Amino acid sequence: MGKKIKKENLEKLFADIGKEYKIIAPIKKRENYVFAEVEDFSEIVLDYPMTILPPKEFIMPYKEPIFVFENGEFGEVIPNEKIALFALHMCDVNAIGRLDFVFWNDLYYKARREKMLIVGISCKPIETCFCKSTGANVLTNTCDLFLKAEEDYYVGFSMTEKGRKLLSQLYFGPETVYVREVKIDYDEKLQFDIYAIGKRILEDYNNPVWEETAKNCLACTNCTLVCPLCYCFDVIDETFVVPEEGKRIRCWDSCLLLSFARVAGGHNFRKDLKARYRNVYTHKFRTFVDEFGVPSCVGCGRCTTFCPAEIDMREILFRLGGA
Amino acid sequence: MENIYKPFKSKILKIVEQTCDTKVFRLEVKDFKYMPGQFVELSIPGIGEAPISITSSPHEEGYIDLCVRRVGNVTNALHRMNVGDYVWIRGPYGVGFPFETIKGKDIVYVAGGIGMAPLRSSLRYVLHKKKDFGKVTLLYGARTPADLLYKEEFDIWAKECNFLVTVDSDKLPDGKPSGWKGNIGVVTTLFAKLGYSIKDAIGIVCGPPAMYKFVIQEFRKAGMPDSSIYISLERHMKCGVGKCQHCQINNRYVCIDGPVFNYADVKHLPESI
Amino acid sequence: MKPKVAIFDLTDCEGCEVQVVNSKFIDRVLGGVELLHFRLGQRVNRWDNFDVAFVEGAVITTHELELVHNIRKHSNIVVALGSCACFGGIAAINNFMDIKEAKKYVYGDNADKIETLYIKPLPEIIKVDFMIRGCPIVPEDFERVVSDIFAGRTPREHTRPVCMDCKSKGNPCQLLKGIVCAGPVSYGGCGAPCPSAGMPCDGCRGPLEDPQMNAELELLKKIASRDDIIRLFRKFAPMAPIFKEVGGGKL
Repeated sequence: MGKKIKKENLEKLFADIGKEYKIIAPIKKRENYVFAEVEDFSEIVLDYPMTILPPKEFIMPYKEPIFVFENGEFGEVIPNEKIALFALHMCDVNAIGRLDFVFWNDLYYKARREKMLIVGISCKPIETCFCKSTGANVLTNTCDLFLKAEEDYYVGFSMTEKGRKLLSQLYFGPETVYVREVKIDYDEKLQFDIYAIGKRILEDYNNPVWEETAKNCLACTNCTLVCPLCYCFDVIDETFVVPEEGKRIRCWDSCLLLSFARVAGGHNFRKDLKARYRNVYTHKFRTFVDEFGVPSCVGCGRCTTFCPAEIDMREILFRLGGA
Repeated sequence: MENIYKPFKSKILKIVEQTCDTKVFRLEVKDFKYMPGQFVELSIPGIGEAPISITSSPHEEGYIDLCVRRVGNVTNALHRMNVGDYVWIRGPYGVGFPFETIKGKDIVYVAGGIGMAPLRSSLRYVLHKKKDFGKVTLLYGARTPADLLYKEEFDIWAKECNFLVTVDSDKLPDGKPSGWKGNIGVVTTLFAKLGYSIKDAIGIVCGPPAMYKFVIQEFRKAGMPDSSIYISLERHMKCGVGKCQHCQINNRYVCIDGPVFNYADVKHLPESI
Repeated sequence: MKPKVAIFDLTDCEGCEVQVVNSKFIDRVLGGVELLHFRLGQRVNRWDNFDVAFVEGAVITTHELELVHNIRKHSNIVVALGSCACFGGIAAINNFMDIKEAKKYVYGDNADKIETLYIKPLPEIIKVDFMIRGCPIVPEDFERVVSDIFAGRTPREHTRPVCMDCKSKGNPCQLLKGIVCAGPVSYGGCGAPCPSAGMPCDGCRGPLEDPQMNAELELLKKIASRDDIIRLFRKFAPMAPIFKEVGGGKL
């Protein structure tokens, strides 16, 4: 059950949210789209195709201090900010839902996430999208409020108490719209049986696709950085001159780096790029599925769109026999 | 809400020098329950954090021992510390050796180098509860006589279990003769000296990455099924709680599914050994 | 006793020394050390045995060659400061040219009076304990290495490509725009100031560990001429391993 909101009333919704939250929304920066803090509604591009970075940086920043060292003691740095992620596509919303599985018992993640408001919006799938295959095209309760675009209005759907509160405001029309299921539906160019791929990915360990792709792969880590569900991290102590004064930093990492599986003393368990590249897929489509029942991929297509070597994840999945 | 990354403070009670680059640190702990094979994350503020396996046995109370080789910044900093200094630890993490399954059976430990650290915990525990287990054997190999750990316990081990030790070379690291009169050769050469059937025993291995394959070959040759072999694996567990992905071996995490694995469970898993 | 520190410079632009001044060195370190030698920063300088000597610049004359050997003899730890010291820097463009012609081009009739050596990176001349890369270095790297040295730690090497710095800032990819960029194979940790300002990475910090140079070259060949690619890798770290070969025409 949803409620209509006129396009011109979205600004009122925005202002209302802005009273309580710092709003992060898609804007255009030169020829690209990025998520950034927005104070003026007119900066927002509601019909953006795809941002470079997913909104994960607002829940687990690239670099975040988790402890400060004060006289050799561990002081916690707990984030205390109310952030609203505004106009997220379904894939990005559901990616956050899947990150929740991993980090719900992580103090820092939860501190941000619990105070967060997520407003989703309809999208027009582009060529590299495959959210349907990953099951991330369906509205879930990770989204507080979802705005489904119609001809000249939106229909708002609330999935949580926070969302219901907004939906009860006057800028949402009084009449209700009945919809059985809210999902992004489109003709997916290539459809995959992700779970079938995951099931045999370890047995298919020596598939030539890994060797061939590793030849072109730059190990630049772009795909893992733009992925809304790549969450691996490194922990580093940063100090200056006096070791007692410093911070313990959590920083994004990438399993494509040579240093990733190296142990003290120098032995490396995934020395070849082939093995490192394969690890991205075995984690996304097998390890994560074994752990949480869904792949750690929402088919947003960023890895394919932003790979400088033009490696197409869909092509690899296709070759792994999941089409 | 509990902070899963926050360590607690622990005093260094005792330091025993083992070799030129390895020391055993005794750390004060209270109500710290663990099993042999588990590890802790050891922190030195401003330097970093490193996963270290526990080398003492759970029946010793009030402290844990960590056997630490000087290889990185954290371990180097630890080596510079003194009795009375404080370090920070969190844990214990991972699953240890499955003593419920092993109960009543013969055990063959095979340790190489610093791999002795977690096995010593298990051995000590088993020797403490000797009547619960069958015949216990320890095969231990190190590079040179100067690299052997726990020399002060050799006499006890020789008395309490079937203990065989070997070195790759009897020369000291500087090339001088050591006066070593024992076995020379890699640890697998000790299998020929066992003198009894280990077919029905439980095999437990920990050592440098290259060692596992060869030891497992010996176990198989002796007729031991893969499901009787347990391996303790080394990875860089950065978070210890299954999140950071650094210790992931395909669909297993060394920090929560291991570090002790049944070989039959992971032998099909690429990159495991 | 306070550690004795020296900062020397050879043939260079002094940019890395300026970055030292820009760092927290003066605020936080200077009080705790005895700065015996720093030509750019202080009037009175003297020689002694140094605990740490930083050396900026390329060795281009026999005088400089003698100087660096002398520095090594007098120093416990030698740190190469910046890409000229680490990898020959801009000056090493010489190595790829006919020296006589180059000198004539620059100095005209005085060319014969000018001495120029084949430029080797400092680590190929004397033992260098640590390198702080970059053209110029970034203050954070200097601060970190200084902290590590004084704390008795081994300074950590960056293991991430410039792409990681770049993408973490949400920048669009230069390569995808068809611009020749060395980011994927270059040693990161700089914070990607160039791509963040809309310029490609010139690889001033030299190669990353395990750079995927074959893949990078395959990609570059699709968007640029051979000369452009050679120029890119000859620019700031021309004598760095792997870059040296590409800059020398092996592609």
